Amino acid sequence: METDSNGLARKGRISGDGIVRYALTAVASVTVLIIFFIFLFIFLNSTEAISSVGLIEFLTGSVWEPLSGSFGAMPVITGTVLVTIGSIAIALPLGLGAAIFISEVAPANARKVLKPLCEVFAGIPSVVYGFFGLVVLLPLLRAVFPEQLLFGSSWLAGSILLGIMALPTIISVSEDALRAVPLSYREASVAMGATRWETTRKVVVPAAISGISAAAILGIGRAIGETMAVMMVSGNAAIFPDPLWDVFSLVRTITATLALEMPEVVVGSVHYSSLFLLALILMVMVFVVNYAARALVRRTRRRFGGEQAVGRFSLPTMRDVLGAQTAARVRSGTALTVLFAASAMAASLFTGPYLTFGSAAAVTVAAVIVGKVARRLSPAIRQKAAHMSLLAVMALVLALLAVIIGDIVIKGLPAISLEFIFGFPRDGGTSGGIYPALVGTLKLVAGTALIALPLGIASGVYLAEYARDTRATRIIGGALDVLNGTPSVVFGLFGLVAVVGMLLSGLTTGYSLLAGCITLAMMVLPVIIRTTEEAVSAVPHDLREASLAMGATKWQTVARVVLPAALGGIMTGTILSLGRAAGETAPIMFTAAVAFQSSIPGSVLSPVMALPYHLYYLSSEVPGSQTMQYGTALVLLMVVLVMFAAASVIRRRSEKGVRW
Amino acid sequence: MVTTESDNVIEISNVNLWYGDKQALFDVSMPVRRNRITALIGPSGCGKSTLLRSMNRMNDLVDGCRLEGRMLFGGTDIYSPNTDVNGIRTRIGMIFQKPNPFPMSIRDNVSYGPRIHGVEDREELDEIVERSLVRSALWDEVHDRLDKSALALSGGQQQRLCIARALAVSPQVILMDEPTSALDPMATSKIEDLACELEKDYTVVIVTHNMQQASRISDYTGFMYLGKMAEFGRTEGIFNKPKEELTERYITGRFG
Amino acid sequence: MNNSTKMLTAVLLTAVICIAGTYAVAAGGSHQDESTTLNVGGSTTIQPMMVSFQETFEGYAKVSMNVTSGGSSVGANSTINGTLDVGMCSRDLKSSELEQGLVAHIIAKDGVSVIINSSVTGVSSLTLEQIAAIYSGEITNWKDVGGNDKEIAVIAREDGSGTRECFDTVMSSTVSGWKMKSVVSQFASTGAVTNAVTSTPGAIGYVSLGAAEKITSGAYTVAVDGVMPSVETVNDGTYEIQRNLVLATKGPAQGMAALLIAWILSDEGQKIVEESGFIPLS
Repeated sequence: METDSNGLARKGRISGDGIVRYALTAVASVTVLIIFFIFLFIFLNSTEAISSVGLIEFLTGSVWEPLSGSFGAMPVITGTVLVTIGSIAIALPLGLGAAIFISEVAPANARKVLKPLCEVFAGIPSVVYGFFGLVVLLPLLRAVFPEQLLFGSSWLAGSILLGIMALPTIISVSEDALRAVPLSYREASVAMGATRWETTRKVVVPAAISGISAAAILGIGRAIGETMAVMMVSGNAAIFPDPLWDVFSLVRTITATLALEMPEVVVGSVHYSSLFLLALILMVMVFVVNYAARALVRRTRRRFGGEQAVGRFSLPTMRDVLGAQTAARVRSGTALTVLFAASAMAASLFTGPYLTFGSAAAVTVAAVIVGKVARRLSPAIRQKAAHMSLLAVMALVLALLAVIIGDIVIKGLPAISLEFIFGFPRDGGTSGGIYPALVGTLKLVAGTALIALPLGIASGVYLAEYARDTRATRIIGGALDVLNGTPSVVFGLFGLVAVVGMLLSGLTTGYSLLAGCITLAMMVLPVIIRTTEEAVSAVPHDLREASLAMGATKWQTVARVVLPAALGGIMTGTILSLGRAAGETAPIMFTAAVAFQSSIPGSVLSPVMALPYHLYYLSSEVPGSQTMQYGTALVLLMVVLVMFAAASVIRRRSEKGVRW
Repeated sequence: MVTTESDNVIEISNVNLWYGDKQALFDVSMPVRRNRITALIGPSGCGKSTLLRSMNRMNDLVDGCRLEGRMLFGGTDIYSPNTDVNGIRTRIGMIFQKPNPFPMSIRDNVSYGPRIHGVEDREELDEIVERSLVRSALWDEVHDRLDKSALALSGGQQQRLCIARALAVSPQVILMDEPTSALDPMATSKIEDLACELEKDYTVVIVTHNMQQASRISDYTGFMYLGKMAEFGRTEGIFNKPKEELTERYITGRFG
Repeated sequence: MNNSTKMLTAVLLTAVICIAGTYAVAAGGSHQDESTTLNVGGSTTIQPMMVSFQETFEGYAKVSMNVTSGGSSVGANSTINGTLDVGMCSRDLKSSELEQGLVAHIIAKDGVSVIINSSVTGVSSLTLEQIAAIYSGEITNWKDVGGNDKEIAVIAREDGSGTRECFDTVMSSTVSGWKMKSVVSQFASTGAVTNAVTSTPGAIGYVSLGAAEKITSGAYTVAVDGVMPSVETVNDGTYEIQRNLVLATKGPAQGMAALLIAWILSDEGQKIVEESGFIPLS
């Protein structure tokens, strides 16, 4: 062991750093391979449809009746677009508002409780959301709009439900981004006499825009890819709403089509292939959304940060072209036009043309007046108003949570007993207990974590710290975002064909716990990678410099300074994804789950019962088991909440004193 | 004044540096004398920070940065591909303009350096921590709360903590990049006193835009302008009888 | 090596050991012999009944059964490629499936009941032509079939469901050129349809006979062409909307699969069929 002139013994740190770099590169490559194979799988299966039906025909055809040979995907694509737009219109304002409230307005004590509370949303399985939608939301909507809603299930119901489901993602990730904005920025603004609200609006939010857009992208991805819940409440008629903005119309999304038709389609047929083509189209849509969002972020960064435009081609901002004042006027003019149009569209669903025009005009005029009045008000009053609104938003979000959880608890509590939790099911699931399902879910979550966390965190660290910002890494980032929006049913099928049918076929025929874990891990990998990457990138550069300047190697800096500082954000990604894994049905339906077991299997190669699947099974085919269904939902909720609580504690510990 | 080669800890000869296509340093040469304080002064953008950061290869972190010329540290070429850059940075430490303690306890901050170099023994670490904090004149103020967060300290204390942290790995040279520009006069004078103390055992290079500071504490001064070393010499000489007209104009404030 | 590298190595090592161990254990030791495991999967309609079979059969034949779902076609395909031993299909096997070597074993029949939401009054029976007209959009209000003045909310199963296929086939043979209208709310399971019809005012839908019988409130079953669905009327053919429930094996049934099918076709098995709400073979 050589010692240098200072007497400091230096062990072989250099080779350690090299090994780590190789290890991380290897892990990241495995992840890339997985992503590649999934894309390949989907693409190969869709070629038959492209050649038989023709891509243009497929995209522009307006009749989707596969059993009669019509493969026109336009109504279904439109359905996805409409429902997603609706859900984002609900989730983004609510989610961002709640995130801003938690991060900037709420007192520190409240913050400790609010953030985990919002994450509880993420633990509610999609089947339960679908339930809630069926049993609470639809009747409510029917009661509020008896004239307009014949069925209850509608575009509106789908958007509301999806919006609620995307909330935890948007709130959590945005809140992380807002908190990561350095204290010095806030201090600088307040020191100039700006109110806290002005600071929030003009300094903090723009500074956090990268993280917020990541949140929005993840949220949109969640909404686009959601299958079960939207299938239960949107009506699934492959039609165009008439008029196009009729939110009360039945619609059908791509994901619902996949879930409805995939199980019964003949493998290898044109219908089968066209379903994969639909999945492919969906992924292209997610890609476009992501690309647009990132471009938007780059432009916003330029506007606020004055950075040089990145990339060869960038449109000049409106401000560059028109000058600041005119640009501002154009902006408000556009906003008012949009407001007018939206009000008109909404009103037209209820009344005739004259009243429609009248009410839209009234709303617009009111907005202008409010705007003018608001400008006259003092900053202090404006801050009060803003904070009140944010409080209202937060209250609404919490109320939603309370209603959903309350529904589950009230209806599920009667089912809970020691026998229910520790007993085995009897009479086809209508009595007895759910113990094997509970154990199965725990095993699935543990197995998924074991596979996805090392792969995902290592890949995220690699992308953020070691990979250079080349085209390749940006493509990988894009692919990850697209994968995040891929419907769970596609993962299920991939699992069935690739994992059960090929990878594990040498070891066992049939479904297995292992197959389920692998499939679930692939599904949650994108979220873990992305949030890890964002969290690591958010660690301030000067901490890295301080460490390197002392002679630390890159890996030492990453492991001892960067990762601990990023642990909070990484935990968020972990929480969100494992919560999702625990509650997903489609991926395990095709790979691991059975409806009934009389004993707990010992090997990972046996299939398992699982709580979300059991719930789905009971609700689909076992009439009269409502209490059992709610009891199962309640137990599942408890499991996820315990997981969240543990992760929350870890995160809180790591965040002590990390407000820089 | 005669100086021998071995008195120069760092020898900078004909160094040119580019950030991408933009050249930032033009044919800069300068000695750094052992156990002395050398100051780099000049208007904003003259390249003094760039020069400083190239001494411990912190510029490696900037994409597209390229250096030509020679920088010798104790006879070793700093920029040779065979040189262990982490070793260089261990022996040439750096204090930054904005104090950047880690979000950890005071103890963990100071013991970070020794830990990454393989020191595991608890007692040895405690000893190093105490020694470093005494050396950086912070021990009296924090010895009873070593396990509290470093972020709770004032700006001046944080900067002294950063100095203690740098000292803990026993460097030979300490580079300071405008270390007091973010601090109040009281804290500033504490750091200046500290620098003079450290001079006995270490070599210090300090970048500052505060000329009074440079004239107060440094033995040698280099005046830089637009990426060139306009004049270098003993501090009294530079401030009282500058050779270059440019230097004189800067010193007397008739600039811009 | 510093702590973090140590930790990383430890984690990686543990992971490798776990994975290797899993494979070792799985391949060598406690793997369930293929001869004592029976993989059954497919139709969600048949799944609950199969689970009832499982509860008795496992003890009877000392076998471990895995009953999965995924749909009739997934069941058929997985049986073709060997993932499953027995596939459950709530429809007759398609010719392409038979060509690939599947053999069908009919184990029961199922009637498809037409149910109407309780808010509709005055309608206790509908003709097949009326039902076809409602579903094709020609009739849009209950008053046109003798009921109260209420718009008809039409509910159906998804394209490709065995239940739907059965229903559509009967409709097509009643009215030539029949096509279901487009503004129909579609659901993916018996439970979902039941739920929807019982809670949507003015709704009509169709579900498996057994499920319809279990509805206690919110909806009622109508007679079709004057015939109420029951075990008798399905068996003697007077109730027209019906289908076969089929188990598929690759090639003729062998071993444990043969035993299962034989047992299901026995009196004991057919009793469970009836208890599950399906029609035992007469």
